[in-house]
Amino acid sequence: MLDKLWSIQEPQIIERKIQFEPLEEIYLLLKELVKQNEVVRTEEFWDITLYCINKILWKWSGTPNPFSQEDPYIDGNILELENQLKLAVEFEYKSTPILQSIIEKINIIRLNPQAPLFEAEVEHLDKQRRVCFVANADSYNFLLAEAKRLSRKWVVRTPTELRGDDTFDELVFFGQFRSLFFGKFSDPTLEFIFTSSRAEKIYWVHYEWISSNWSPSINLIGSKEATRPFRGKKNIFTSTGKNSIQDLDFVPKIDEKRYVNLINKSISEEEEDTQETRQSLDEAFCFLLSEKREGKQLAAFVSADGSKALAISDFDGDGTLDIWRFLPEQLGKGMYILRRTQGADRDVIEIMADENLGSEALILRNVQKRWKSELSNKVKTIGIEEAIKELKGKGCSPANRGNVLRWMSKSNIKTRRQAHFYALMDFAGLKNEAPQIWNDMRRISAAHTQAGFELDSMLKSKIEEIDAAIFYGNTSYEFTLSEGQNLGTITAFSIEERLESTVEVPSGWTSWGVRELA
Amino acid sequence: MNSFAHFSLGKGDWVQFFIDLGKYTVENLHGNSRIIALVPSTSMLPFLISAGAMNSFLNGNISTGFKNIKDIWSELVDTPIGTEVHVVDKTNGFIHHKGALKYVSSNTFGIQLTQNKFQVDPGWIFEPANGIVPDIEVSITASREYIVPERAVSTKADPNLLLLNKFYQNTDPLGVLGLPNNIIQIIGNKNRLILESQAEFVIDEIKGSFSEGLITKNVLNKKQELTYIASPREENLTASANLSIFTQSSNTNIGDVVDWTNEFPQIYLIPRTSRQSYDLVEIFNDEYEDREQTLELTDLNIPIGCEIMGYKI
Repeated sequence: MLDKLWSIQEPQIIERKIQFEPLEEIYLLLKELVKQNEVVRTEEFWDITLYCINKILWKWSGTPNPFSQEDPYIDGNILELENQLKLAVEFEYKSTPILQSIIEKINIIRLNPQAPLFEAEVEHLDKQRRVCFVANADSYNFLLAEAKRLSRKWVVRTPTELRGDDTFDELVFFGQFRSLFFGKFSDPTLEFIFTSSRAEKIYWVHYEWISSNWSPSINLIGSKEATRPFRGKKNIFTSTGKNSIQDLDFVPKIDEKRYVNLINKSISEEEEDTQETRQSLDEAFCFLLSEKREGKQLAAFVSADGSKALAISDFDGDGTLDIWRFLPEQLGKGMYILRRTQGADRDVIEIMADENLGSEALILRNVQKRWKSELSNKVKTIGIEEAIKELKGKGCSPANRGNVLRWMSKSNIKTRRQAHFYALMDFAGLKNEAPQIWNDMRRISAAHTQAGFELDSMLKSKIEEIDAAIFYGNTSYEFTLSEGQNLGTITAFSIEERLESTVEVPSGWTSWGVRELA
Repeated sequence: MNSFAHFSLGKGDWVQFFIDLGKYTVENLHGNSRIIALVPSTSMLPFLISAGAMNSFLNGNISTGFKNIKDIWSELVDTPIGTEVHVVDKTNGFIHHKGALKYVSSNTFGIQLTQNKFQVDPGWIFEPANGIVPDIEVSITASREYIVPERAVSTKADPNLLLLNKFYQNTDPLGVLGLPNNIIQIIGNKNRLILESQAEFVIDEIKGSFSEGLITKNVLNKKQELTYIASPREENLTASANLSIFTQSSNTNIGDVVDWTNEFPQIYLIPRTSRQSYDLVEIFNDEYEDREQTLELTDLNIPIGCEIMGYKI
């Protein structure tokens, strides 16, 4: 088995470009629609409308299922589009006829029983060979039924299920690469499907009019090109379609600018309400949640300082819920992000860690506050650029803008390496105390690790009680952490979208709770 | 029966490469050298690397390897008291004694097995002129002083000599028993690694497992453990290992111990299929940028599918 796995690491990539004009016509109409002057994403009506169309097209272009298959997601978006059309008529938009034409064509395709990607590919496959269809949540049941019907040797696997050592003769991937890297979970490690092949032949089956390109991003910078996947060639997964439509053109995306404006408005309103002058701001990732409160969009923020956030979903594909920690860059649509929604305004891990530290917590936290304060003062005095230069000169090689800001932040405890920490203390004027501070910070860090384990096990025991089917039907799910300890309530919120750019928000927003975007 | 019961030791280029990588590392790299490899699967790789490394340790100067008493006597009389010495006594079966050299004269020597004063330590007379030549083989571990344990480490053992012979050709296969404990450490998902090490394979009609070839815990006895297997927590790591191999696998994260060093080479194996591969690659790429020296890894026939880099920190 391992010999086979190692022998197929330079697979043959076969691209199949499939024609299906009715779908292509909708793309062309969509292009026409966005050319109209009145159609701008910053206007809520058009943002919602374009988002709905893109969601339908994105799903259809990335799945091999028949168009007429029962699908509440598609039906829900069609319904929303039809409501938008009524509004367009009411608002007397000039682009209404194009929108009407798009909706008519979508409704025609919706009744079509064809499955163009699957049907075109399957006629080339040998029923005697072990073929594996790569499925996502949308295509799994259809592909499984078809594979069973057509050949006993054909199987269906989700990307997660391909992480083992099993190998196949041929592997079939349907749709655009972006569906792997922009879709559910946006996990960059999924590139292993192509860079760590499980089959000697990989078929890439997609619609012919869409241009698409992708190249591996996980590389060791010190490796020789010849040892890299496909010997370092960049053009293996490049396809030029007609009509200059790029796959990225219809990845369903919301208008980020509109939301950034809403976030800034909310910050100003909070400052007015609390009579506070400008609060300290943290760079953070913004997650738009599926849940709305009184018609207002809810958002959760996770600091971009390298902190991880807890999320729930079936990450390992075994049919049960898992609770894992992720960097905000790894969180995405389809996951449930956990936020503390009731209780003290401190990070629950910090509270539990302090409990573990006992009577010494206060002393150790004061040491932490002190070096943060000395460091911040020094950086403010000489400026961040000069600080970076001086730190590097003292041997603190990871010093860069992001890291210096992170070291100054309240939540950070220490650098990974002792030598870097000593350099940081030297810079902050605490050279003689560096060994003692390092030891104190190691104790806080150990208490945080222990608290992390305790919180994980507390939450694991909570989610074991939940029926996954019921969980997925909710936009949020509330847990009371512990009856005995005063740890408050945690709520799991379904993520609808993640803004691609980070935003600056009050530091309190990143530690707990969710915010209404006014 | 475990999930690796039908494992067959492959004969592809990849097998030879990882054996060679172990040899290369031991013979050419020193200090805090790090090799990072992105691979399609880490299955069996740490053991192949260890087999290559062990071969080089046997041919190196860590121990003399087991020699007949006649051949090693002149070396033994010059050995400092306290040095780790192994004796395989074949007079009555196969008894392996491990201890510190306690005394050595012109015709006798003895080793201290334990700190227990009531324990009788073994000694041997060597007078070839009078026809007194014990049926023993001796290995002197030159590299380290032996810390005498509270309990003795003398056991009747039954090493898989055929397999050791196959693994360590051109050397005395018993030599492996004379190497110090924890000379190699393999860090990763401990349960999985143990399972893999115990997977039985056949190589040129000789049956065996990596645990027998690399002497992991409990293969000979509880105390003799040349290849130490542990999970990636700093408190589990042993500073005495001459080679550390870190294997990323599900449910464990070698990212937690990347800062750990012991002035000996380290090899990190990252499967591209791991959810941690992105983060780990980023950590090692950052470290590579701050490297003291690049390791060229020349003369190695790297198989397709293995992306590799080396550097010294």
